[in-house]
Amino acid sequence: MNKEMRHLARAGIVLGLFIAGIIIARQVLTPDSFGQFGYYRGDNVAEWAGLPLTFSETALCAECHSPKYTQWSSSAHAGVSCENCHGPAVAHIEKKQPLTVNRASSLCLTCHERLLSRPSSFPQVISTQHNPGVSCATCHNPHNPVIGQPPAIPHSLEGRADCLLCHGSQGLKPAPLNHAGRTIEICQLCHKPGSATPSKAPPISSPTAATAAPTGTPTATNAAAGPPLIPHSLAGRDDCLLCHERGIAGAPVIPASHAGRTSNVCQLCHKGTTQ
Amino acid sequence: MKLTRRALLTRGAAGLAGLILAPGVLSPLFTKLTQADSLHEVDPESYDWGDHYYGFLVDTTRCIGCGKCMVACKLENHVPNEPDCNRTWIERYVISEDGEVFVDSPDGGIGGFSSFPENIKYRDVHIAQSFFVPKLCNQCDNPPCVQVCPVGATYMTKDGIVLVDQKRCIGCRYCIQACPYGARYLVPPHADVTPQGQTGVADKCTWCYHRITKGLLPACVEACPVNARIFGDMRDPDSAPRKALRDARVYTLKPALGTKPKVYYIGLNVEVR
Repeated sequence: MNKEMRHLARAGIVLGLFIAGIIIARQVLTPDSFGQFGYYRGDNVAEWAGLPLTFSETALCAECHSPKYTQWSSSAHAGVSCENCHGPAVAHIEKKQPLTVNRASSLCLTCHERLLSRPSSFPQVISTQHNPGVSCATCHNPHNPVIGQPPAIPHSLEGRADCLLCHGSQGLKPAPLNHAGRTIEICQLCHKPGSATPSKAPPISSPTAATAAPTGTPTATNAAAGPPLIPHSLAGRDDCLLCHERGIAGAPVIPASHAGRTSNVCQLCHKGTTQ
Repeated sequence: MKLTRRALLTRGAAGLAGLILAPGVLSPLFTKLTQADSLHEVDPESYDWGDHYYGFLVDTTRCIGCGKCMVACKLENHVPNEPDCNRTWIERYVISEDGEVFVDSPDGGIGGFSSFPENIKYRDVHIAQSFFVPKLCNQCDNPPCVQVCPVGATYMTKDGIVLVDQKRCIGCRYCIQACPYGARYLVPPHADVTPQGQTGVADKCTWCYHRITKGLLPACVEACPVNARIFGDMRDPDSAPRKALRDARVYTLKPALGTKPKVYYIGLNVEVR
């Protein structure tokens, strides 16, 4: 190498070291799986696919909760997944953590409150007009909300003071058989005049209202269809309000909608499992 | 310096030989840019992404704006609870008889929507139409977000999902800017929960990749009470979206941008942007 090229040699060495440095740094710093499938780190796909689950799937609930699942899956709520109301189930399945059941009306109204933007075919109620203050679950079984729901009165009540004239057993549109013995004073305790959006309130003569009522012995399945069954013997228990007015000994307190009712009318709606 | 002809030829030949041989010598130092055929090849136990290609249908005629999809998404994917960090959200459109369009999305719609009398904007307006439009990442086939990422942190999988490598993301927010649908957000530095333990990185809906690769539905689809979200494998002719498409007429959001979104909307009104 002659004198005239020596300066080039030095520059060449520096450039060579620089390029070598870049190549080595790139090799060291680039993750191993980068470029495996494309211009990205290949390991990341498995990282995303391997994240833990929080929600399960509704079909798994049937394995342990079969009766409720069967009831729910043929009801109007069949499109509402169990976890939608009960919360994510993976912790419940794997670690037996209990799932809380929110019985407040606010849960139901999240979907069913009347909003103009909601499709008009979707059942909605105006909560301030539809039994305000009463929990939705009092009348509507969440696992089968239509069965047991007392149909709204679709007609005016003018000149129609005696419901039994038409809806008695000899009338034009008889009430279901489980209404036997009920007097006209209590009809409107459950049946409200047109409170829901009228198109969704099934008329009293609709098949669901007439055939839904059980005709024989009350069974466990329709226990939650409408007023709860009496789960205890009635021997020595003539006065219902003794325990149920104030919730003595764990007895459920009667809801606010029952205000003013006396012990002699309880069994018109509430039947016992052992009679 | 005098360069003789002999010197030029010998040195030139040596240089040329070096240039030809160099890649063979140096290639182990360069990262391989070959395409493996499937995840299955890499890990035989796992699911084969080459067998699937996912699609999503949103039926805006069914959406009731309950927000259950958003709640489920936040729980399933550990999305930060900040109101502007949403992988999916719902927009309410109110169109007056005069043609004026009002759009609102309070906190994305996670708490539901208030009814009109309380909302001052619509009080004196005669309303012609009003409906909800749920939105989420469209997993575009020509994603602008992937195109702009400077570090190769976001990419599209073989089964059609666009994912973000949050360990590689540098938080430059270029992808968030590039997305025309607003589907991406930045995980805030002090987030209470994070999808993968990283903050200051971009995140977006993944169509619950960890669920769909196991044959489950995304959390929002599972949660929707009115079947407004329909998800499935577009390669399977009996999947839910394929069956729905036989009778539904669909449109996509902003088709003119050429992003080729994979979320199809039934009942998309012309005012929806």
